[in-house]
Amino acid sequence: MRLLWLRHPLLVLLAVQTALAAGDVDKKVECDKGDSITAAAADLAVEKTYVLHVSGTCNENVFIDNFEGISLTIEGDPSATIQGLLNNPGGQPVVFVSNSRRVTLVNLTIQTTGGVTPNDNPVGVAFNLCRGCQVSNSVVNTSRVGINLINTQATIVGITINGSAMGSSGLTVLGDSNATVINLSATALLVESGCWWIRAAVCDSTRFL
Amino acid sequence: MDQGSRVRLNAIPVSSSSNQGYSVGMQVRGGASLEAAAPCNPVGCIDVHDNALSGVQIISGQATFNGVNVTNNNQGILVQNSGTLSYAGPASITGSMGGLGGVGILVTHNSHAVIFGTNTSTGTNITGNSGRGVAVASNSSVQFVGPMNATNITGNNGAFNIACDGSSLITGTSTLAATTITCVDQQPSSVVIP
Repeated sequence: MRLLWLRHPLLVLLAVQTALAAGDVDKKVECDKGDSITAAAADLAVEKTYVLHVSGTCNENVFIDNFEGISLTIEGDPSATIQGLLNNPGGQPVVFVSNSRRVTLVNLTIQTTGGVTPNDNPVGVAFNLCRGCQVSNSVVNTSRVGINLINTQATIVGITINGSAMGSSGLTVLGDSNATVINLSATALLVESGCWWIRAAVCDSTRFL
Repeated sequence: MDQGSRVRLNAIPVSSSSNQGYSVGMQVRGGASLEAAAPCNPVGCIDVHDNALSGVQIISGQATFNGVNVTNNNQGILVQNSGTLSYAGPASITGSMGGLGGVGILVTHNSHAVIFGTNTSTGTNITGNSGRGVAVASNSSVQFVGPMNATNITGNNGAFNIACDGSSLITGTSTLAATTITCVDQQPSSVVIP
């Protein structure tokens, strides 16, 4: 009986230590004060769960590479905007997650900058070799591709993609990816010779055939 | 979608999924697989509409649709180059507006489509397209599956609502609501046993 009594506090202590080691880590990213999501998501430990609470407008191309922690959530708190930047040479996605797992983007407005020239943002959100990744409750405004998945396993939930130029794509899923998509609203306005292409009846359809 | 990818597209009311204003609303190609399903009864459907070239293109890929409306596109659904389509209602393919090319479903170049009728909600409808309702060509086939009179292919422009070339086959014509068909090789039974 006495041994059993002694065992309980030890077990409790062990559980507390485990919980602390594997517990949530919350970080504030206040972009209007100059914080960067990329910087906040760099060099994270593998045994923890991270939540980045983002506010304001972040003028950056977010790059997350090789995150192998328990999970990483980048959350607009309550909302945030990520505005992409031009990059020379070669435009980059506004949010690029590569070789990572369990990365979630939520409550964000993600906007590409520029159009179709080489230095513009080609993609709003790009997941490349991402496992268990997710984008939810967010808006992507793009003149190119909204969300691009390559060799990725992802869930897309409650997303609005607004395409704003000829040839833009909403969601592209490539290269042995596996995606679950729930409540996706993808809309584009195809512009041709100053004619806003909303319904075929408005313009001359033969130009597109 | 391309290169062997798999996607499951769902809509859960009260919100829904929609895809509009692109050149092609959805494109499934290169061995990719798309499963799109929604409780379309009659709201809450997935809507692919007002796209400039095609609502859906399935090119060497496969797609399974349940509760997907394809409306007011230049062309409805194109299945080609060994593509396969499974389309089930309640749902509608209507208002394709590309003249004779504004076909509801065009199945061509060694491809296959199976169209399931339903008597629930608004039914399975391929109506009001500017071209054929269903057109089948180049060693392709379409299978209609009952229940009886549950698939409505009517009111499409042109002399016939369903048309085939000489190399193609449709089966299950007995399950269709009254329509007009010009297919040399057609079978009333959905599954034909030689």
